[in-house]
Amino acid sequence: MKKIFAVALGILTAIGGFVDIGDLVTNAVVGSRFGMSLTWVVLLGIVGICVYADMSGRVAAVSGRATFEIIRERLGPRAGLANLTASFLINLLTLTAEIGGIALALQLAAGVGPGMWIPVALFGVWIVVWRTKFSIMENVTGLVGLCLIVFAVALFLLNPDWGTLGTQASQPWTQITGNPLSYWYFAVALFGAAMTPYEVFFFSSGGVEEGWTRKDLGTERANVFIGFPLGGMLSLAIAACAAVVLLPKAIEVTSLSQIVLPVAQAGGKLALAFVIVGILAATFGAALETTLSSGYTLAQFFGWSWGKFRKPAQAARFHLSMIICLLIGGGILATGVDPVAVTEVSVVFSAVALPLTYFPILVVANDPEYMGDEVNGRMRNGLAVFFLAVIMVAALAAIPLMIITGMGS
Amino acid sequence: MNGRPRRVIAVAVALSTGMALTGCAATQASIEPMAGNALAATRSAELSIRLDLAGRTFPTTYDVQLGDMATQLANTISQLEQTSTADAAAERARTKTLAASRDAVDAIHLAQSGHDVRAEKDLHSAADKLAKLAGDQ
Repeated sequence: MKKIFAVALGILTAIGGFVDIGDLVTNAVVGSRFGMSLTWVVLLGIVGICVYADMSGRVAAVSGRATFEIIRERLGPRAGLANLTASFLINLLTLTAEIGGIALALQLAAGVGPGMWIPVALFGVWIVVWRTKFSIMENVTGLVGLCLIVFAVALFLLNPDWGTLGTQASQPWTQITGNPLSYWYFAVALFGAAMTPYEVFFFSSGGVEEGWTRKDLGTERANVFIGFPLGGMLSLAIAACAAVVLLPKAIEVTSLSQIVLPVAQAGGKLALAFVIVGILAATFGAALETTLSSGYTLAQFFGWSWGKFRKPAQAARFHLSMIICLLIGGGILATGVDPVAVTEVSVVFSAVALPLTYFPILVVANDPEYMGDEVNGRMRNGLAVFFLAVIMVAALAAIPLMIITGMGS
Repeated sequence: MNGRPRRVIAVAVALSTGMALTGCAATQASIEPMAGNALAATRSAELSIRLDLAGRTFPTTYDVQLGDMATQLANTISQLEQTSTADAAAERARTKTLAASRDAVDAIHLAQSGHDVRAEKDLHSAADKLAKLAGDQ
């Protein structure tokens, strides 16, 4: 019974914790511009993140060590440094976007400008990272994040023409208007948002935090192969709500306040309250994850003592690095930069950094020295290599598409 | 320096100046995306007002939505004000887009001061004008 409860809780938190500011913004922007015609990218991204998160979680469960530690040991400091640089910088950018997302969600609730909420968000994230137990932190934000299910409820309440949505999804070429390169730019951005690097590092380090062993592989697989796809369905619901309400009115999403419009139209104040709480929980949870991931990547590369299972005094450099990352993120936002713009940039650069993040995981997951009999099989390797090829194409195309299309405009 | 390289430089300068000038001056087609941006903000504000009139939104969220759309329109207005046009047709489009965008901002200010019904009408009228200018998006 306890085992079933643990698996169910893991799945629920995986669903609630799947969506972050990148998914929220990118899916709403895409839904309002191209309808459901980029559904295939979301589905591709979900399968891709499942394949690599499973590998990353398995490495942690079998070896008892986080992926990053092994990458440095297995590939050497130079390859490890390339992996660290790419992952850490993208993580920092994502952390900045998440802090901005918290401020914008609080602004929607309170009406006071986001600038005032940034210090509050920074303090909130720091105090939780400093004081709260890992499992409580993960479960509470994940479960409250389930409020985002209101997007799916809103979609049914809007009573859309399912046939039209289906046609948009199955015949994507019919929705490409204007510059077709903008469509491909958003395809790359959406893929980057779905496969954000911090998710796999957090998942793997979280496995070590929670003391996963081979016995927990079932829980790990349930989290990944049930929780992540259901979380991904929320991404599609966000895009669908925008496609039903905003696209016919030619409203292109440029701010977080527009993302909640379809939900308010469908369900009124109650639904609006749920969506604001859900956005707050999703961005807060992702801010915690990215803050911890920043500390994890640095500490695991440099061999510092790390983990929330240790007292802060026993992992001083780990905690100090997270405080510095939070201050850098807050500093970037204090310049007055639009958090939504930071989010859009972060998902594109995330796509650029993907090969440096995911290739080493594939190498480690194939090493019998670490994995024993849990090395990747043919099927897993086939999928992983396929996704690595997709990742390479997305990474190479991201920057040229961003420049040519003027960020998809 | 002999005559030939000078001529080559002169032609290159003339060509690049011409390209720069034509590149900077907006045609009617390049005004359309700006009208599209203004239209998106106007319709978004209109939807927010409708939701507020129907009691489906919180006053705080409503204020943020109107503020965001006013900012977006102000950015478009500023962009339009700095745009130089290539011909008379483009200038007409620019002036009309500017006027409709300003009407939309005024309507949002009206809504912010509590006159939702009038603001909705004004926004609707501004949106109609902007839709035509944006090529009926």
